[in-house]
Amino acid sequence: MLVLSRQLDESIMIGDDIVITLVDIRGDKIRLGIAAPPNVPIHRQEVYESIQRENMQAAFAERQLGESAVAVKPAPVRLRVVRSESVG
Amino acid sequence: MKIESFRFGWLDVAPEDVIRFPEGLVGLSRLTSFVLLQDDKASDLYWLQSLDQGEFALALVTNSKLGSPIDLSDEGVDLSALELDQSEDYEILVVLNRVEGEFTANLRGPIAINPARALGKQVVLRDARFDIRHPLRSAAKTPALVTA
Repeated sequence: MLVLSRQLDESIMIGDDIVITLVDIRGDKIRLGIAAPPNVPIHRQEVYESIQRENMQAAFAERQLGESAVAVKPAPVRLRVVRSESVG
Repeated sequence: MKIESFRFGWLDVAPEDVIRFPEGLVGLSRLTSFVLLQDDKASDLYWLQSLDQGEFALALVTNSKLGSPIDLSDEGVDLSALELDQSEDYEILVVLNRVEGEFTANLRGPIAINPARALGKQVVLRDARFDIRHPLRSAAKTPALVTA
């Protein structure tokens, strides 16, 4: 792993368009500012990993959901967006 | 295209029924093509079947079926991948899991779909109050699932 030292308000560039800035230091906590193109997903690692784990676990659990596998083939559906009128 | 799914056997999927997830699912970026199926026994239950990996399918219900706990417009979520014409033309679906025999709903990582363009994205909500394993036992609105 590359390790760089940075002072407050200094930044790191990743590629051409991702900038990570050290914006605050308080005790053992630091705050990072991240500027990246909108198509670059940014997640806290532990949240990312927990969603990933949940996706895989849910895909496995679905085998137990409902009745036996390879039953009737459901037809593809296209969702219709239905919005209730908001009041006020 | 024909794909062999674990749950439904061979599926013949028309091109217009393919839903693309340009970013893939969270942590599963290579899964980008899906078809949405409606369960033939429990009409509130949907299946997001991967076309890249036949054994991968997620059970889903609509956000509204759960009482609409999720409002993405409040969360400042980037939905540009959905190429929305109007900001509200998307449906939110919630992934179900079964943990030790109990149904749970992943409220933290819901799936947004733009039906008009057949585009989808799994978003991650910032607010930790959205539980990854929200228990559905108390949710009286999901009887169809429990009896499925």
